Amino acid sequence: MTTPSGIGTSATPAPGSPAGGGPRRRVLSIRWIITAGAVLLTTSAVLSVGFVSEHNARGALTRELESRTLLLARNLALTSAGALLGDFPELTLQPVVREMLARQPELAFVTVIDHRGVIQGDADPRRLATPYRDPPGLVTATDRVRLAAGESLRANRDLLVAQVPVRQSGGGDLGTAYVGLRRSHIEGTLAASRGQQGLVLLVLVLLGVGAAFVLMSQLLRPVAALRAGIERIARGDLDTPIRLRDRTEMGLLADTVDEMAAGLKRAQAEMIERERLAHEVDLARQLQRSLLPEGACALGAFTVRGDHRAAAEVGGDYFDVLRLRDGRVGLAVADVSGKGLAGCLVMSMLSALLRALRETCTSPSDMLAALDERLGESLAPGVFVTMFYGVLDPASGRLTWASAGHNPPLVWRRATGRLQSLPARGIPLAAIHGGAIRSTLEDAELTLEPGDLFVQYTDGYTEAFAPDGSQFGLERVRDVVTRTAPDGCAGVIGALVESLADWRGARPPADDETLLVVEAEAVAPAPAGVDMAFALDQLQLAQAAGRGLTLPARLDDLQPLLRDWLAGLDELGALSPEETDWLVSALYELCANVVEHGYDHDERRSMELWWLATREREPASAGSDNERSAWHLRKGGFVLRDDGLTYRPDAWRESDFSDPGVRRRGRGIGLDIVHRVMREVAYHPSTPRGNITLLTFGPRPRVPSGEGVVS
Amino acid sequence: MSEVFRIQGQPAGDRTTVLRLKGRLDAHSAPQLLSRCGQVRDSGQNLVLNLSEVPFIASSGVGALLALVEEFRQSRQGVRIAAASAAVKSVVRLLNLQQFLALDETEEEAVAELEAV
Repeated sequence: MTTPSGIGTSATPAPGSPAGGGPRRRVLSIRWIITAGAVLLTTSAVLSVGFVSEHNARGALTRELESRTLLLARNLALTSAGALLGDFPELTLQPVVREMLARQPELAFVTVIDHRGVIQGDADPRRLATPYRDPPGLVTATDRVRLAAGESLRANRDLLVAQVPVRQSGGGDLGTAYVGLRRSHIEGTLAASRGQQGLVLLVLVLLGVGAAFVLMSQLLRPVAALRAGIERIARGDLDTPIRLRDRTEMGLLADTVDEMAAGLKRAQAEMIERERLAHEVDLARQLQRSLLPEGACALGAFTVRGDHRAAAEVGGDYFDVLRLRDGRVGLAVADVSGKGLAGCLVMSMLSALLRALRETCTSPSDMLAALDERLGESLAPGVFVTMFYGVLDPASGRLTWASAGHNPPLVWRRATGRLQSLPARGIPLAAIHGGAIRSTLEDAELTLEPGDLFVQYTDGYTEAFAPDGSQFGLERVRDVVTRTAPDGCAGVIGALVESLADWRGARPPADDETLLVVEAEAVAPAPAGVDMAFALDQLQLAQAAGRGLTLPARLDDLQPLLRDWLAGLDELGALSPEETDWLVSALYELCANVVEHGYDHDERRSMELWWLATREREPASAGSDNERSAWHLRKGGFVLRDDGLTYRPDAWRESDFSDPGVRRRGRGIGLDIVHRVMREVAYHPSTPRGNITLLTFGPRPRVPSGEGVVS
Repeated sequence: MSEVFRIQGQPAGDRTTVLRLKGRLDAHSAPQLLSRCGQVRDSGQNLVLNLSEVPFIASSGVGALLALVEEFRQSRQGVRIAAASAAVKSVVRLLNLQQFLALDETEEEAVAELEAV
C-alpha cells in the first residue's frame, strides 16, 4: 500500500533508539529496577527478621547463662560449706574449683571466701588467704532470675558474677561463693548464629534476584513486540497487526494499538477518497472551463456573450459559439443530466461532435438528430441531454434554430419593446434510442433586427431556489430581460446574474447557471462605402508613415507607453506640458475602452496606434498668440486599430457635471476627456482591417477655459 | 511596469484624516481608494487627499474623486485635495471640475480649511 503523507517517517530509527526524532533517550530497564527493588526488599526483610531474632536470642541466652551461673554458684556454696568448717578449707576447695574451671572454660573465675572475706578457694594459689575484691564496675545485672536472700547477680562489661552465701545447715554464714562468667561467651554464641543468618540472607537475595530477573524478562517480552509494531505504524505500515498472545495488560495494550492502526487505516482511506473526489471535481471544473468559450464574440453587427456559473458539484451545462466556413455561426446551449466528471465527459463528447459535424449538418435539426444518434450509442441509460442549437447569419441577422427538450428561448424586439418566448418542441438527446427524436425536431427561423436581443438559458436559472424554497421561475427571467434589454447583452447578463444571486441568498448554485445572449447592434454598422474606404485609406497612410505603437491590452502599461511614444513625436515637441498631459489622457481613455469593452482585459491581445501628420493645413490666420500656439499649428491625427468587440466612442453625450447624480455615479467621464481633447472622433467598426478610430487632434469649438487653448 | 498603488493614512487635526496616495489612480486603484475612503467616512472624519505622488489620473480616478465628494457631502463631511500633481491638475482643468473638487496647494491649508468649518 502507499505510504500516506504525514504518517510515515522516512528515517528508520536505529535499534535501541526511540522512533522518530528528538534527543536520544537513556533507557533504564524496568528489569533492573524491579531486580534492585527485590534485592532491597529481601535484604531488609532478612535483616529485620535477624535483628529481632538476635535480640530475642540474646535475651534467652543471657537468661539461661544467668541461671546457670547462679546454679553453679549455689552448688559451689553447698560444696564449700563442709570445707569451710574444716581446718584447711583451701586444700578441699582447690580441686573443686579447678575441676569446675576445667569443665567449663567459659568461666572466668571461681572463688570461695570465708566469713572474714579472705579467699579460701581459688584456681590461682597466689590469691589464697588474701582479701577478696570484687571486679571493678559491677552493677546488678537483672531481675529475670529469682534470687534467694543474700544472693546477687551482677555484671560489668566483661563479666557476669553470681554471689551465693555459704551457710551452715544450722543457718550461720560461713562465707560466700563467687562464680564469674565471661560475657564474651554470649557474644560468641550470638556471632555464630549471625554467621548462619548471613548465609541465609545471601541465598535468599540470590534467589530473589534470579526470580525477579526471570519474571520480569518473561513479563516484558511483549514490550519488544509492541515496540516493533508501533514502529511499523510510524513507518506507515498499517496492515501488519501486532497480534500479541498475552493475557496481561500488555496484551490489552497491543489490542488497543491494533485497533488504533485499523482506525488510522480507515481514516487514511477516507482522506484519500475525499482527496480523490475533490480532485475529480477540480478536474471536472477545469475540463468544463476549457470547453466553454471565454469573453464575448463580435460577429459584424452582432455580439454573442455567454456566462456560466458552476454549481458546487459541477453540473453539466455547456455553451459554445462555433464559426462556420461560410461566415455563419453555430450557437449551442446544452444541459447534460449527469453531474461531476461524468457530466463533463459527456460535455466534452458533445463539444467534439459539434465540431466534427458543424460543416456537414446543414440545419440545426439535422445537427440535433445526428448528435442524438451518436450520443445514444455511447451514453448510459438514463443519461440525456437537453440542447438548443442555432445558426446565425451575421450578414442577414437570420437565426435558424431547433431545440431538443431545452428551455424555450427568449427574443426581445427593440421595435416593440416586448419579449417573446419561442416554443421549443423536441425531446432530449439520447432520451429515446432509435431516431424517435427526428419527428419531434423542427427548424424555426427568426430575424434579429438592430437592437434585438436573443436569450437562451438553462434550468439553473428557472429552477433556482430562494432560501424560503420558492423558485426563480421563467417569469422572473422574463422580467429581468425585458427591463434590461436596452442595455445590450452585457447589461442583461449582469442583471440576470445579479438577480439570481440575490434570489439564492448566500447559498452556492445548486445547479450550473448558463446564459447565451445574442445582441444585434442598435445602429447598423456603417455600410461599406465612402466612410470605410476613407478610414482604410487613412490607416494605410499612417502605417506607411511608420510612426506607430503597439499597445498590449493591459491598463497598467498604457500610460507609460503612450507618454514615452508621444515624447518621441517631433511635431508635438512644442506642446506645453499640460497639453501633452491632455493628449496622453485622451489616448489613454480610448485605449482603456478597447481593453475593457473590446478585449475584456484579455492581456494576450493588442491594438495599434498610429500618428498621421497633418493631412490638411488650415490657413494660419495670423493674429493672437493663441492662434499661433503649437496646439493649433501642429495639427495632426491618430489612427487606432483594434480587433475587439465594437462599442461606440462617437455615440457620446457630454456629461453634465452640474448634476449631482452625474457626479455621484462618477462614470462615463473617459469619453468626455477624449472629446474635449480631440476635434473629431470618427469610429469605423468592423472594417476588413478591424475597428478603426480616426482622431483629429485639436480643440473642439467648445473647450474648457484653460491656458494655451483657443476658445 | 506596473507600480503598486499605495495609500498611507494619517490623522490631522481633530476631525480630519489625511490620505497620501502614491501611484496611478485608474480603474484598478480607484476601488481601493473608494473602500479606504469609505472607512474614513464611516469614522465621521473629514478627508484630505494628498495627490502629490499621483503621476497620472484616469477617468475612473476622476469619477472616484467626484463620487467621494458627493458621498461625504451627504453625510456632512468635507473632502479637499491637497498638493495635486500637475497631471491631476491638468485633467481637473480640462474637465472644468475646479468648482466640484476643492484643490489646495498644501496639506496644511486643506486641513485648516476643513477644521475651520
